[in-house]
Amino acid sequence: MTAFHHHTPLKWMIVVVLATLVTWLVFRGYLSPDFLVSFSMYC
Amino acid sequence: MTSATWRSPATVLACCSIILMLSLGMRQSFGLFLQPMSMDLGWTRESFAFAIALQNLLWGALQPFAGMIADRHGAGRVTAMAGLLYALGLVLMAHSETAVAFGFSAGVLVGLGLSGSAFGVIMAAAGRAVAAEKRGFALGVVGAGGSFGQFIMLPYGQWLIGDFGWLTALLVLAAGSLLIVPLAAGLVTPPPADTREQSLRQALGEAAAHRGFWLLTLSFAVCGFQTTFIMVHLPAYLVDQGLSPQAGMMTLALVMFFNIVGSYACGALGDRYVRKYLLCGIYAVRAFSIAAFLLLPPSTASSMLFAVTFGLVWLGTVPLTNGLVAHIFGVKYLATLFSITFFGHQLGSFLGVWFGGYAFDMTGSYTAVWLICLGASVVAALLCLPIDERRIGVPPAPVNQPAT
Repeated sequence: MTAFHHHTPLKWMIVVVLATLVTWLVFRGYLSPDFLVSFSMYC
Repeated sequence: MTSATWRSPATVLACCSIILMLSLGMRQSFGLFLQPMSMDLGWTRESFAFAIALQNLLWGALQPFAGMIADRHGAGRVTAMAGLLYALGLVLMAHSETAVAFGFSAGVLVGLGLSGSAFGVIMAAAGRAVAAEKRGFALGVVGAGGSFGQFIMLPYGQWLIGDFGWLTALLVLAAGSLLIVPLAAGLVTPPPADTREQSLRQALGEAAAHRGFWLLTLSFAVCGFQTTFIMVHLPAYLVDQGLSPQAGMMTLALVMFFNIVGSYACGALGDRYVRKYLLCGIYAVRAFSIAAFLLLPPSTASSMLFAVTFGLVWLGTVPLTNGLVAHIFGVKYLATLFSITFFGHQLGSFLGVWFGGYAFDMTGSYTAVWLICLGASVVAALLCLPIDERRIGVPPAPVNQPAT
């Protein structure tokens, strides 16, 4: 835990990678055909 | 370590952020259930829409009362109860066989759940957990959490419905909403040091007599009108303009994504700059964004540009309005007073959804509503300028007398 706490750049790199992955997955979800059909019904 | 000390400001903010992410995020996905539930159960679209409208109405109307209870007895208990009601509402939604039952579960129970687990109570809990000079940052972090929930819940909800069916999807959401209950334990904080001795009646009278309180409420109503109109009607508007449904969805996704950045940034800037000028700036940016969107030829590029600029100022009004209420009136009745301004936001939201559809049915286009959004934005920006930001109850600093 102490070693992890000292590697601040590594910690931030992990956060950035995870955030990028989540963002990419979510954007891909917005463009999925099922979502387009469902949301068009909602609108 | 005593039981009181584990609730550090960071812990309270983390709990607030996750609670807001859950409560705001899950309601964002309800519209996706309209088509599959209506088809399977033989309901009309109006039955579903009525339940959602009732939910929004009860959320806005009951939030001040939830705020009063939270200010008196602590946010933790109110939010825990709200989490239970939210989960119960979702479970009953899954098992509703009539439109009336659905109206009760989705409209009444979830509306009650939202009144105790959304902006009014949670933002106040976050504002009370930190010192005044860090309040903007705290509200920005919590606002970003709520925005993140709204961003991810739409495609997450669609994935649940697509892979597991709407009934299981609702039960999964119910299980997620139960997390609000243990997280609420992190919201019980000791009263902050900067509270004045004042009854609720005195606080309400003080706010009612303050012109700035009503100016804030009115501008917040404009915010509700614009954001809800755009959220509900923008994809259909873009398709009418000849763009693809994918462009409409990408526009919505970009608004939601940049809202995360904007919510945090607007909150944090509130610690450094005069909040009413920031609010004025937000409404001015919205006006320019709408004007450019209407003047430019419809294209994917113009809709993306609109999404980025409007997304950055989408919910930045929430931490700034909350921060202003806290600064002027103190934090003792922050949940109550901010919830009253938020009721104005919800009234604006109702008008935005209803009038958007009504104007389209009457005129065949959304142009009139866009122009109203533009004009209202200019008015809201001007309404923010005369707000008196001086803190009530704090005597002015003494002026140094020259030596005689």
